Amino acid sequence: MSGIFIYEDKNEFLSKLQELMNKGVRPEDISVTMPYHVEEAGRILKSRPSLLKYFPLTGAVLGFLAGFGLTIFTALDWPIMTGGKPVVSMPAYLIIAFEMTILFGALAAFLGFLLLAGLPDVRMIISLEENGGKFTVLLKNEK
Amino acid sequence: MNELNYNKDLETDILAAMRKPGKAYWFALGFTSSLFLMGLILWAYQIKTGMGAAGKNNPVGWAAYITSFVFWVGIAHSGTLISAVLFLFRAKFRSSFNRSAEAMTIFAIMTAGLFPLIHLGRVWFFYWLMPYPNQRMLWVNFKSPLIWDVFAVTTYFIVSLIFFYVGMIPDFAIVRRNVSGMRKWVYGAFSLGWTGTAVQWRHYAALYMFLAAFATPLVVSVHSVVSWDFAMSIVPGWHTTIFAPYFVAGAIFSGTAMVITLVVPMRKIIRLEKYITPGHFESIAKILLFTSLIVTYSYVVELFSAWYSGNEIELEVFRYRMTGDYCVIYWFMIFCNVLIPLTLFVPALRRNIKYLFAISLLVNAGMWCERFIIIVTSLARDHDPYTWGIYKPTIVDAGIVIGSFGLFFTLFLLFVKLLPVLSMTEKKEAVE
Repeated sequence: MSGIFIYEDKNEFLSKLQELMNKGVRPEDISVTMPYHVEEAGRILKSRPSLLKYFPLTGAVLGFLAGFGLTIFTALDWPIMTGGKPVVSMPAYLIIAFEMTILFGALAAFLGFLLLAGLPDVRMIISLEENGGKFTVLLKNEK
Repeated sequence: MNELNYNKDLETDILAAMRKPGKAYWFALGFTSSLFLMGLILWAYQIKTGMGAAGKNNPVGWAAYITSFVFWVGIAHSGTLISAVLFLFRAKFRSSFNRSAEAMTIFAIMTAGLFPLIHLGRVWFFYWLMPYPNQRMLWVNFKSPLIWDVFAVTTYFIVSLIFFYVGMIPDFAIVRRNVSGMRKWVYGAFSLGWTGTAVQWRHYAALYMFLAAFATPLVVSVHSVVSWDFAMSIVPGWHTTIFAPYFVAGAIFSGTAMVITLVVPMRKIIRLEKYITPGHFESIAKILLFTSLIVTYSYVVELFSAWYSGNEIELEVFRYRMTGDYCVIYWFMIFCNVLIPLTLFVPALRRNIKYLFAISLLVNAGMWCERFIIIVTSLARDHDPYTWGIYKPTIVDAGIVIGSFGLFFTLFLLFVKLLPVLSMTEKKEAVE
């Protein structure tokens, strides 16, 4: 079995996917493109959950540490008491740490996405294989 | 079949909006960019002449510029609220507003970011706000709310920009498919070669969820930090614990009004009535009403706290707000932010788009006045009567504030013609 199947209708596309899976075609031999996100397709293809979650987690932890690291280091590098507060003033520094947690987490999530999704894909920047925004099912291996 | 036609019409209509600038568009762009140019010229004049060209002076050292900074940061908030919070709550009507709201966020932060620079005077030293190793062996003061502001607003800009861009990647691929020549290359590059494979969509959905989850506490933190610029001081009328939630609610309120101000004419001019319906406006009007009630409650609590404290200086500031030199602005603020939004309890008015547009203009004006009242009246009536004084804007600071509106609307007009104004993929997903 081989070939490409193109559908405008989402339900027909999902039926075809289900049919292929029922026939015993391996998910890794099926390549699909979709004009918008259809969660059911992932369920039919038994896709594993995205590994993206580890990227924002790592970024957020690093950002938190970097926020406290930067503020404490700069305070100790030239200790000046300001505003009657201790030289190392953790409540004030928590705000910087919080902002950097969010910033690094978001940046790491974006970079992780690019890595996992294989983007940017230079070959496809001007794609010659446009499917006109339809659902496509491509069987990779002939049997 | 209807779904298929809807999807095709959607692409056609959105792409048509990107193609044909008419005379009205060029006129609007010419008008707003002229205002911006006027603001730039006045800023140059201020730099050449000195800060005396602006009306601010002791005791009111923070005036129209910081008012506008807080106003524009507030405007920026609703973009993320509509995008991120409504995404997390799975509110489907968000897809009619989210792209415009996200664009509004980016442009409003850019506009807001100019005001501290204008306010600095010697703008070429702006980098002193950043922590960097230097010859003087001095670092920035991380205990200062002004430095928290630098970090909060910069983070907000970067995260909002990523959120805005990520949302457009699949739409850039649609535009790439429908244009030719140089534009195909440009939109192709911005699409990063997106093809919509199952793997790409799976990671995309996860990314969008994480960005929304990061952006939501960020929205709350940014305007809280802006409010602490005031609340951490001991100036009467500023030193209060309710400032953070009060400012966040006000920010969402003003931002929602600005979304309505922008989307009503955009919907009409580029014929998006089919995709942005009165029902969608009714949903956003409910947010406007709800946040107006929170803002009203904050006004009442603020007054109650001043009265209950028994502190004469605190009471004097609030008496001055209501009956002093700026009382007309105060009562105009109450009219716009408290009374007029109550009419939105009437369902027919929530669905009346012209009425909503008029209300949104009043709320925008009212919220600028709110920031002005908070900042200027407190400084004008500080602890010591010997230092009391008033602020009168000059043509320079008034012109620069008007110029900032020119910049904001110019950027929005460019967005309307250069980028897809609705999230096509999300609209298709929502119509199922």
